[in-house]
Amino acid sequence: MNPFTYIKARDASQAVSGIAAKPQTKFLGGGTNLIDLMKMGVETPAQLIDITRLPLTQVEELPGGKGVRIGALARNSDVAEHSLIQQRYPVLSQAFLAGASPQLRNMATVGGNLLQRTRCYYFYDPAFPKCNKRNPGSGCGALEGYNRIHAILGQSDQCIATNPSDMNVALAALDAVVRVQGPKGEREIPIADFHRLPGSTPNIETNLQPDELITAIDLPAIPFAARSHYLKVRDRASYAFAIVSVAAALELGADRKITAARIALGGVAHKPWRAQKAEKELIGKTADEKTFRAAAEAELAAAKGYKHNSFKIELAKRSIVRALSTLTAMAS
Amino acid sequence: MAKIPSGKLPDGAGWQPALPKAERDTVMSATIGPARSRVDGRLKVTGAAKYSVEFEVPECAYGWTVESNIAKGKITAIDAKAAQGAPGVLAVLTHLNTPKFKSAPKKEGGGGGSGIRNEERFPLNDDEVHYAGQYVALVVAKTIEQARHAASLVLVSYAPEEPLLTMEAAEHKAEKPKKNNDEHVQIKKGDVEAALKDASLVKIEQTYITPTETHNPIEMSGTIAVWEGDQKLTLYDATQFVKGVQNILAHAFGLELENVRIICPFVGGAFGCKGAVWMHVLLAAMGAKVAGVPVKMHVTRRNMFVGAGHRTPTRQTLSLAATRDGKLQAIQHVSETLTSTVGQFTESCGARSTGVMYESPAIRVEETVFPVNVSTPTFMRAPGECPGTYALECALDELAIALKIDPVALRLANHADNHPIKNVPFSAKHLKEAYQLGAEKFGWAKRNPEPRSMRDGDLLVGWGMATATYPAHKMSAAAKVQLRANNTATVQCATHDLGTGAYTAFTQISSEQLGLPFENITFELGKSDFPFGPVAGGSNSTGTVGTAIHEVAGLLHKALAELAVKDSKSPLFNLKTDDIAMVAPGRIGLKNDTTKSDAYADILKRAGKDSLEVQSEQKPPEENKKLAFQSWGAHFCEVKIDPLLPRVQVTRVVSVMNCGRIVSAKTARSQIMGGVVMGIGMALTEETSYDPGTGLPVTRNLADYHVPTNADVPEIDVAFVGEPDFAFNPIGARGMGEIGITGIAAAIANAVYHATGKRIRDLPITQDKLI
Amino acid sequence: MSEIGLTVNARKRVVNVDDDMPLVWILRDTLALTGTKFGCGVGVCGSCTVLENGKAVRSCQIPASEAKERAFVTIEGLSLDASHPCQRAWLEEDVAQCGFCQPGMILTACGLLRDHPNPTDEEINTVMSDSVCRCGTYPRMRKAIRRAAALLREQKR
Repeated sequence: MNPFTYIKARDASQAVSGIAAKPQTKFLGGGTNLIDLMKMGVETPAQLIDITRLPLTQVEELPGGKGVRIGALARNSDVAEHSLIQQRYPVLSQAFLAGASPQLRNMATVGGNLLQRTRCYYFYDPAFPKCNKRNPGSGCGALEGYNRIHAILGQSDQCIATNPSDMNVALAALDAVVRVQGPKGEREIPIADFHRLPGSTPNIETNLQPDELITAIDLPAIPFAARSHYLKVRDRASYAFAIVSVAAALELGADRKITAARIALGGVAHKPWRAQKAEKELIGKTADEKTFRAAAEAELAAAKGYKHNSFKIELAKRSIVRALSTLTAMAS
Repeated sequence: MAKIPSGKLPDGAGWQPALPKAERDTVMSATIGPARSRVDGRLKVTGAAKYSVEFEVPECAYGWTVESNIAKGKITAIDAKAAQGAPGVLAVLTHLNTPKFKSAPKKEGGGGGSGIRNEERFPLNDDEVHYAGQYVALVVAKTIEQARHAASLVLVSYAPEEPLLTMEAAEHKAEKPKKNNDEHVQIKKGDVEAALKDASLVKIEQTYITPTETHNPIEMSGTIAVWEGDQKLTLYDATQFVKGVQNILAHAFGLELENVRIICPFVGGAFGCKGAVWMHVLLAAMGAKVAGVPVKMHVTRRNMFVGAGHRTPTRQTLSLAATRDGKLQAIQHVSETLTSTVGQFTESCGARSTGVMYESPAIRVEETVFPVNVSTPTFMRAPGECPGTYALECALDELAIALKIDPVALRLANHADNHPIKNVPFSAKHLKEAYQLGAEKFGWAKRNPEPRSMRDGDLLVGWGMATATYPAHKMSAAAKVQLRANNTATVQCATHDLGTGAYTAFTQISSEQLGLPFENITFELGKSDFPFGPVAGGSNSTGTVGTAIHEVAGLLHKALAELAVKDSKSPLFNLKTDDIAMVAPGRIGLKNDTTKSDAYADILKRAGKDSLEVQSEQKPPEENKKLAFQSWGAHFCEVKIDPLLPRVQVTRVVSVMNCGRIVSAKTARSQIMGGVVMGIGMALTEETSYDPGTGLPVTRNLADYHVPTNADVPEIDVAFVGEPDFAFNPIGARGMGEIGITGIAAAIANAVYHATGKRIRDLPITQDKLI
Repeated sequence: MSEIGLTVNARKRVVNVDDDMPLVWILRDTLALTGTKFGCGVGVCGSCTVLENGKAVRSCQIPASEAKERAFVTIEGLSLDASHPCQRAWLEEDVAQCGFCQPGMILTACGLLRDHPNPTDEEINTVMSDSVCRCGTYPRMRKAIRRAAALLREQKR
C-alpha cells in the first residue's frame, strides 16, 4: 500500500476539521471496502482519520413518531438485529443479512456501506487501463469488455458500473435521509439525491462533499414498511454480490387493491434504483401477478443490456414479480 | 426433443432389480485395517501443521512481482528508480539486470522424474511479453508492505503487438498433437462416418463448452528461498513434486542435485496447480541470490489466476449413432482446447474417457490445440477426463432421451467388458455394480423420465446421472525404512500430502506391509532428501508409493532373515533366506512351516543392533499388457430449481466408485466428496472470465470466482464397490483423487434438463442461461 | 513503522511493524503464530479468522494501527492439545483434508456456537458459508458443529 498517516478522531468536529486540513484524507470506519481498495492501489489516501471512536453508533427512535435514526458508525450486524429495524423496516434488516458475510457485517458501518464502491472489474483492478471512475477520461473498459455484472438502467457511455450495496437498495425504498456534517454545519440529503448516476462524471459517485462526514441515516415513519421484503438474486446459494435485487413494501386496501408501494432495485444501476414507474403502475390495481408483471415491464421498458448482461432485464422483471408476490402472500 | 410418455419407463428400458445383498457385500472393496482418522488431524486443528511459507527463516525478506498489463509485445523501458529508492528495498530485478538462468532439464514423458515445467521459459531473462499477467519485475524488500509499495512504483513501457486470444484468432496456429504424456490422443477405430450417415440409426450431434476454471486451493502458492553460499539452496515450497522442483532448480542455477533441498511437509490444497515449477519459484531463488538474503514469495490470489495454471477452456463436439434398441454404433469426440504460446500443456478430453467408456464398433477421438497469448494452462483435477466426461455423458443422456431408454439402462447396454481400443479385458471392473448400488441408494426407480414432471412444492425437481471414469496410473518410487528394536519404524519417501490423506494411507500401508502396529509407524514425506517420490498427480501416489513400501518391506524382511540365519540362537538359524518371509505381525519365519519364526525385536537385540535400515531402488513400473486398468463410478444427483428465478441447487448426491482397494476408508470417502464438491462448482458457478481487449482475467479473486460454499453443498453419499486390483499393483489400489470430479458436471446438467426441459451445453449453468 | 501493543492469546505483545500491516501478518510473520492462515487478503475466504471477545473477525481486514490495544484469540489460543470442544469434534468427524482453511473454520464455528449454542441448519449454513474450503469438507464440518454444540452443552452442565 501507499504509505499514509493515521490519526484517530475524538469527535465529529475534529474529524471534519482534520479532513479539511489535509488533502487526500479519508475517513476510516469499518474499513472493509477502503482497506481492500488501498491494497489494490485504487485508493491512495495520504491520511486516514479513524472515526470508529465517535459516538455515532446508536439506533434510536426519533421524537414525535417521526421514524428511526441510525448512527453512521452503527455496525451492519447490530442494525440488522435491532428490534426497531426488524419490526418497522424488515426490508432493511433483510438487506443487511443478505449482504456480505456475518464477519464483514460485524465490521462494516452503515456510513461506510453508503459509500461502498462498485465491484466493476475494470474499476477494481488498476491493471485495466480504461476506467473513467478511477482515471477520468481513460474510457470505460466494461462497455466493450466483460460486462455480465453491469448496469441496465441509468448508465452512460462513460460508465456502466453498478452500486453493489444491499443496504442502499432498502434505504432507497424507504426514502431514507442522510445526515451529514461539514465545515459549514449540518445538512440533510435525501437518499434519492445522495448517489448519482454516472453521466459524464462517473468518478463523482455521491453528492457528499469531500469535507463532509456522514453522521446518521434517518428512516421516516412508513407504517406499511412493517410488511416489506428484500429479495436478492445471486449466482450461488449465499455469499455473493447481487446480480439483481429488489427492496419492496406494499400497502393493500380492501379487495387487495394496492394503495401504496415502494420498490427499489439493486444490481442494475450506478445508484440504488427507485422504481417509481412500477410504483405508479401498481396504485389502485389488484395485487396479482398480472399487475406485478405490468409494473415490472413499465419500469424496465427503458432498460438497455450489453453483450453479457441482457439477461438482467428479464431477471429484474421476474424479481419484481417475486418480491411483490411474496409480500402479497404475507398479507393474506 | 423426443417426448417420453410420462408415468413409467418404456418397455424394456426399466431399471433392473438390484443384486442380492449378500452378493453385493462380497464385491465391496476391502480396506486396510479399521477406518482411521487422519494421522495429521491434530496438527491441523491446532494450527501446528507447518505449510511451506510458514517456516521461520531469520532475516527473511519479501518478494513482490510486477505484472504485464499487455498480452503480447516487447518491454521497451523499465524505470525502477523510484522503487529502488523506496524504504526497505533490497533489490529490483528486471530483464535488464537479472542473471541468466543456466538450463532446463530434458523433458521426460509420462510424468517422469525430470520435473514439470508447463511454462517453458525463464522469467526476467528477455524483453518479450507472451501473456497478460506475466511477471516483468521482482522487488525484494525487508517487509511485505514495503515490497508491495515499491512494486507499485516500477514503471514499465511496452511496444504492444496484437495478441491471439481466442481459438478463432489462433486458427492458423492450430495443431493436432499425436501424443500426450506418451499416450495416443488421436484415436480411430472402425468406420465412424458410415455409421453417422446410416439413416436407420438414431443420432445425436452436439457441442459442449466448458470455460476456463482455476484451481484456487486456499493455500496460495509460495516459496521461501534460502542460499548457503552460492552453491547450496533450500526451498520451502508449496509443491506436489519436491523431486521435480529439486531437479529443475538444480539445472536453473547450475547446482549439484544434492545441494538443492526442497521441503514441503504439508500442502494446503493443490488440485494440480502446484505440480509444475512456476515462475515465482525461480524468481524467489533468483531474488534471494541477487539480494543476498532469504526471500519469501507469496503468489497473491490475484496472481493465482495467471501465474499458477488453470484448466483450459474446451469446445467439444460429440456425435453418437445407436440402434433403436440402444446399441452404440459410433462414438465421435472432437475437442478443441487452448494452450499458451510458451508451453505445450494440452487438455486431452476424449482419449481416456470416450476412448475407454463404451463398447462400439466405431470410435473416433480427435483433438486440436490452439496456442494463444494467455498464461499457460496446467493439470486441474482429472485433466482431460473431467471436461471429457462432461461432454460424453451429456451426449449419452441426450441419446437416452432420443431413444426413450432409461439413462442407466442405456449405459448398461453399452457396457465395455473389454477395453474398446486395446481389446483386452479390464481388470477388476465393477461399473455395473456401481450403477446398481447407486440407483438403489438414490431411489432411481422412482424417477419419472418426463422433463418438468417432478416437483417439490413450487420447485422443479430433476434427477440426473452420469458415469465417472479415470485411468489407473502408475509411476516409479522408492522408499526407506528404519526398523528399531522397540518395534517402531520410520518410513520415508519424497511423496506429498495435499490433503489427500497420504500420511494416513501410507501409515496404514506401512503397518500392513511391515507387519507392525499402526501406532508404531511414523511415515515421513515432503522432503527431497528422501527416496524418490513422483508428482502427486494423476491419482498415482497411493499405488505407486504403496508399491515402493511393499518393496522396501520385502527388503527389510530379507535383511532381518540374513541376520537371523547367521544367529545360532534364532529358530531360523542356517535356513535359506529365500524360504523366509513375514509370517505374522512383527515376525519372519519359514513360508511353509510357520512354527519356525522369529520376532523382529529379538533378531535385532541378539544382533546387538538398535535399528536396521534398508532402502528400495526406484525402477520403472511393471506393465501388464494383458489387462486394462481404469477406475469407474456412477453419480446420481438431484437438483431443485425455482422456475421463476432458476438458480440450480444440488440437493442430493449419491456417488458409487470402483477404484480397486480402498486403503483408507475415511480419507478415500473425503477425496470422492471433494471431487463432487468441485464438480458442483464446475457445473454451476465456476468460470474465469477474461477481458477480450487486454486478455487479463476479470474474475480474479474469490469474490468474483465462485467456488462452492457450504450452502451450495448437500449431503453426499459415497460408497465403494469392487475388490482390490492386485493385477495392477501389489497394494491393489487404483487411486481416488481425480475420479470424483469426472462425470458429476454431466449428472448435474442432466438433472437440470430433467427438471426444466432445457439442455444447457455451456458451463457453468448460471440462471441467466435458464431464463 | 510503529510500536503497537496488543493482546494475543491472553499474552500482552509489543510489535514494531508498518502501520498498514494487517493483523494476519503480525500474527504469522512477527509472532510466528502461523495457525492463522492467509488465503485472499481481502476478507473473502475466511482462513485468517480470529476471535475478539468471542466473535469471529477477519485478521486480514484489521491494519496494525487498528489492532492496537485490542485482544485476539488465535487457533493456538483455543488449545494446543486439541482439547477445545470444537477441535475435538473436528477430530472426531475427521473434517480436515488439506487443513488450510480449518483453523478459520473452527474459529468461525466457535463464534457461531457462542451466539447460537444449538444452531439450526440454516444458521450453520449462513454463518459457515462465509468461509471457503476448496477440499469440500462442508458436509463433515456441519456434523462437527452439531457435535461440538453437544460437547459444549455437556461441558456447561
